[in-house]
Amino acid sequence: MIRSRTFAPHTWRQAVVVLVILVALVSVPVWAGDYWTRLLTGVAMWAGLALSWNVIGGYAGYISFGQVAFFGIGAYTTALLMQPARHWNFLLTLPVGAVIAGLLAVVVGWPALRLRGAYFAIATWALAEAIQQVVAALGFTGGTSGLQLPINASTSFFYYAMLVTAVLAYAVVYLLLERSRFGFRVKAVRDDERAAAAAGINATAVKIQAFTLSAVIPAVFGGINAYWITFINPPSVLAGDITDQMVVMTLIGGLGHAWGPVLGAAVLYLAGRQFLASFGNQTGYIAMVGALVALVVLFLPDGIVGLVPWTRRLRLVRQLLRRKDRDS
Amino acid sequence: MTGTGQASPVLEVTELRRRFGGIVAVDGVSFDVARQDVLGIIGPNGSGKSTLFNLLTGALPPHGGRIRHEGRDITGWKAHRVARAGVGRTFQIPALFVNMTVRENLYAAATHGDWKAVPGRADEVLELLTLGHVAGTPAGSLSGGQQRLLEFGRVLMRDPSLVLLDEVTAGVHPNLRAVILDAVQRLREQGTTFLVIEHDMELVRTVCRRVLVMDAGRVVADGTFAEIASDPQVMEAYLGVPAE
Ligand SMILES: Nc1ncnc2c1ncn2[C@@H]1O[C@H](COP(=O)(O)OP(=O)(O)OP(=O)(O)O)[C@@H](O)[C@H]1O
Ligand SMILES: [Mg+2]
Repeated sequence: MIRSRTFAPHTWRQAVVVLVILVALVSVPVWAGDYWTRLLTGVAMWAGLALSWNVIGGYAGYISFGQVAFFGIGAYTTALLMQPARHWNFLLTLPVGAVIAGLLAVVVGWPALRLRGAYFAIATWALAEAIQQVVAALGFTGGTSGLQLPINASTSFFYYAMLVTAVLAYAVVYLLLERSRFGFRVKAVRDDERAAAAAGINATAVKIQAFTLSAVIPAVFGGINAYWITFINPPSVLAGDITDQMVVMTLIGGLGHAWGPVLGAAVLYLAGRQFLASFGNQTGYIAMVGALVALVVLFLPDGIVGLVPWTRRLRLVRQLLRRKDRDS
Repeated sequence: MTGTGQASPVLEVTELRRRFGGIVAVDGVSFDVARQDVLGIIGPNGSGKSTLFNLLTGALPPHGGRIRHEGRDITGWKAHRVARAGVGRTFQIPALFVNMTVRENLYAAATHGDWKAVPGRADEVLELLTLGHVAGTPAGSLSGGQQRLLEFGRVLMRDPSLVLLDEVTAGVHPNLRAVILDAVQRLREQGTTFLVIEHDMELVRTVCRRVLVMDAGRVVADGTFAEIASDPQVMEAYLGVPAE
């Protein structure tokens, strides 16, 4: 696709497509039934979580193995504030979790994002592990026995909560990273930090801002998810395999592409559920994911999005895999 | 800029020094650059020219010496601060944003000014550098010459008062080389000051009003092209290499 102007207004046709999709999504609880509404609730959540990984991994070019920490922080914030003693309104707990996650991202990102990519990957992984251990050890978090939340049995409530959050997250990320000067700065730093600095871009600040954005999103989903599943403990909301899912969904959908994460999330989440329903376990699913990731790394670096003929070809997968070249 | 007296130099470099392990890449370099000068920097491979640029632009911290830009001490400043103070540069090995198109590279170079003016500005630069037909092409798939043009174009997007060009015409087609040199001339007339690292002596002779010769991290000669061309030390260090 030859784009003459990055700021070119969208055509009305695109607007109509978006509108049709939105109407279809909003009406899901009406026509889809309980089972499918739940499945799509999960798709919306994973689309948002994968999006958050795409912000730091795809746009900023730093591999985070700690995104689950922010998801878990959101979950525990909501759970703790909704305990009978405090009795917060559910919606008010979400911004609190987001702020805590955002602050933590600044504190961790400030030292870790000055280092090379491998150090950041290790630092974020260690952060997630540490938080999981601490939460399991503390008393007020319920330790290993977890926390119970008030029960809300409305399927459509959670569907709409996840859907609205996902749509908002995609809109914000799209505007910030694809349509504003901030996005140019983030991608410039990703592609060449020295050249970005020569253009007056403060690389450290930009990376911290991107990491903070990528931390706030999973915190909100974590809060909604905690209320949805009504009981949380460290393995259910702080386990590393939650980050792994975000990574593979983004890679398979299309790393660094605006709509990659939602495609990857839809395909993998639905496939995973199908495997579970058919075989009672996810062994087959894990094998399939492994094969797909290999396929993407070897032949399809732009993921599913790359199957669309006019998709821009990015070099991100290769760039990430030999990260050490970049900062030297 | 009108407040600054003609006499005050745009850049004052004093005893600048930088080591890499045992190698002293820049070894006590001092010089001034007057406004609207085009200062050529020549010297054999490895004589410290690019390292000097990296020190001047904050890409590397110096191990000694001082740098003053527009009368302000900028020694030890981070590269992005130096850039925002009005210093633009190109890299010897083009450092493009490879996942962005040519046009987007130009936008990314100008995220700190009037953002609304950027698309129009990019159009001008694309036309000037004859890159219009590849505006939508990813920078990573440009030819070597086009990559250098784009490097130069990113500098033009930012209106710097001091520009450092590191072999910007190497591998560029002669017609386009003329385009770059025209742009340098025009900007110089409008008040921009240039430091130019070049291996092409003909180009140095025609463009640079003053030439600095470096050898092994030191400045070994400083003068007009005619002066340095007749300097025996320079002949030995550099120009003395017989031309094929
Ligand atoms: N980042 C670095 N690490 C280690 N040594 C370096 C580094 N950068 C430059 N050097 C060394 O410093 C010396 C000066 O290199 P520099 O690149 O400044 O030379 P130059 O004059 O630009 O040469 P050329 O004409 O080949 O571009 C060389 O010996 C080089 O090997
Ligand atoms: Mg050099």
